[in-house]
Amino acid sequence: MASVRRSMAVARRVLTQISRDRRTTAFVLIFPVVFVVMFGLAFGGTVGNVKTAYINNDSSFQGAHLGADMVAKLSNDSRVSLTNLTGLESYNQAIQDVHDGKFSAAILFDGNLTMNILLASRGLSNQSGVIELFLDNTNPQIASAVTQAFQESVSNTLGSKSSLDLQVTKLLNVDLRQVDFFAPGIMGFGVLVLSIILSLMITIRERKEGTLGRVLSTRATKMDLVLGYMMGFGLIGLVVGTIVLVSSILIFNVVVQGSLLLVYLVVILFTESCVGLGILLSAFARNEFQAVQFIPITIFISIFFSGFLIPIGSMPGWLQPVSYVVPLTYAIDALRNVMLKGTGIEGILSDLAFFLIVMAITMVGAARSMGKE
Amino acid sequence: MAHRGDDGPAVRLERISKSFGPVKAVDGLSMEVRKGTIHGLLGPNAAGKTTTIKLMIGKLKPDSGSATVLGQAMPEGYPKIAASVGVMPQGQALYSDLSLIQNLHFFAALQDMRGPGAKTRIDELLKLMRIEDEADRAVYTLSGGTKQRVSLACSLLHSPSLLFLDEPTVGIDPLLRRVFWDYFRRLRDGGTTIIMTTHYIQEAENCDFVSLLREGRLVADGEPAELKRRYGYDTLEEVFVKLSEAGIDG
Repeated sequence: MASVRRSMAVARRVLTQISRDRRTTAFVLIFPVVFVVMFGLAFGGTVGNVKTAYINNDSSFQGAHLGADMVAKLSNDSRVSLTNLTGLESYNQAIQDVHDGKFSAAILFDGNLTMNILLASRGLSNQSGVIELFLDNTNPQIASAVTQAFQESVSNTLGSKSSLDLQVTKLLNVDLRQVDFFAPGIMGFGVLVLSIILSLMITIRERKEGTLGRVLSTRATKMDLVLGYMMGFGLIGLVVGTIVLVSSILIFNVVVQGSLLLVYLVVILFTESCVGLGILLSAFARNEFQAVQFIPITIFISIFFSGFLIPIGSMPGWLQPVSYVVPLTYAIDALRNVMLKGTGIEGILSDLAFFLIVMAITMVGAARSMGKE
Repeated sequence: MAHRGDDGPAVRLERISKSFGPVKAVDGLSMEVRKGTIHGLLGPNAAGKTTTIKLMIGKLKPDSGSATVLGQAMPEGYPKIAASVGVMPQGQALYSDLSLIQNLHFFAALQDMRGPGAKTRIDELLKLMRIEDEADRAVYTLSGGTKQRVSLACSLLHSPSLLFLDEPTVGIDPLLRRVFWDYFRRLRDGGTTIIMTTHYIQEAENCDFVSLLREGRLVADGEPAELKRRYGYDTLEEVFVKLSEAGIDG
């Protein structure tokens, strides 16, 4: 049976080992700051397939149907993925869908759009055609992509001269900056890198120096060891997360909309899932050299498939499922929801559940793989 | 800690075998280790000594045959006897970046030893091994001989009744070797069973019982004096060389 005392002895030993290694300690404390500065100053990625809802109440007028023409042009634009809610939902419901994250934007075409524009163009009316665009502003890349796609469809359909009243409303985090948007990803990435590296290296060293065999010859069980690692590294993950958060706030004035406790809950569960993964990966490495090779693989997969730099929806459809098994995907989703939208725990339950599943699988896998020859 | 009601041997192996790929490390080995003895497993490199120890402590699952230790079948029965077993692995197996005393405290905690009881026992062992002055030094700064002493101390923390020592005297000077053997004899006299591997055949003369291994098989076993008499040699080394040249002697 696992024992909390024995596990705590393992956790204390892990923390003592790391604190005695000046280089590792410096790495834990300085690397997150360097990371925040580097990535806060960089930006990249392309956007596509942004989920956009539309309600087209426009009617045809004298053989023209401008709303339908604009929808047709948008349908051919790879930057957006349109969903027709005409007749299915009200305007208010469509806007609520953007609030809830079902869509990144909603386009609402007024009922007399075509008639008003055509009559105005002939000087027969001074009423404008109305189109409303509601944007989820928590992701500036996505908001910008949708806006550009929409404006191009308007310009291609109506030309430069038209009486169009385009009303753009930004929802959620209206004053969002690029660095605010990237801060959750940076925090998650920093925790990922350090958790994976430290847990891989420590467990590989246990095997190499023979201490794993000695430990398993005592009353300690494999689960004592796994739990001990998770406690020790979990604390380190919290330290790293705190440093990234404080650095982001002090250096870039990043604002956290939601609960800090919830941020820490996400960080700790994410750290534990990364530690479990690191220990499990170490079972497939015979020495430090082999272990080190897992690090860039894990990091690059996490960077490219988690939505950290490139929105997941902008990836080719066949690649998107990869993101469903990348823990960083869920960390970024949860942290963005909490930090940028102020979402409560009910909004990130699926993310937390994923971490718990990963923890359970990797803990059992890690315990079973330990000590195998 | 003795196991009551169990008057059988401390260890019994019955036709146990273990291969690693094409290499048969242990091949149909049968042997017994009596309680309260110092039992040596001798043989050249790659004889299967360490693999045999690992089979005994449940670290390896045999391909065939069985291992029974203190009445429990290995490997699944190991947790039941872990509190009675001490293991000194080959190559020290210490946390080199922790101090000597931090290593002792850590392994004591894993044996559920804590508080004043643990401290008393650790102080006892530091004195016994004559390493008190180096208690706060990181292990990587210690000499090979001192590391061996620390390694032995870690295996003795919980006063086990069965001790497995894998090459305990490798790399240490003759003086320290004598100190170790004096201690092993005292432990044996106190009822502890000691199973040790060594490739120093002359050292095995100190054992109560020896099993000679070659290429994973038992070549001969018995008391050192009895083996010398049986084969007509003055030293165990000559016995072993003769048996190795002749092949397996039934």
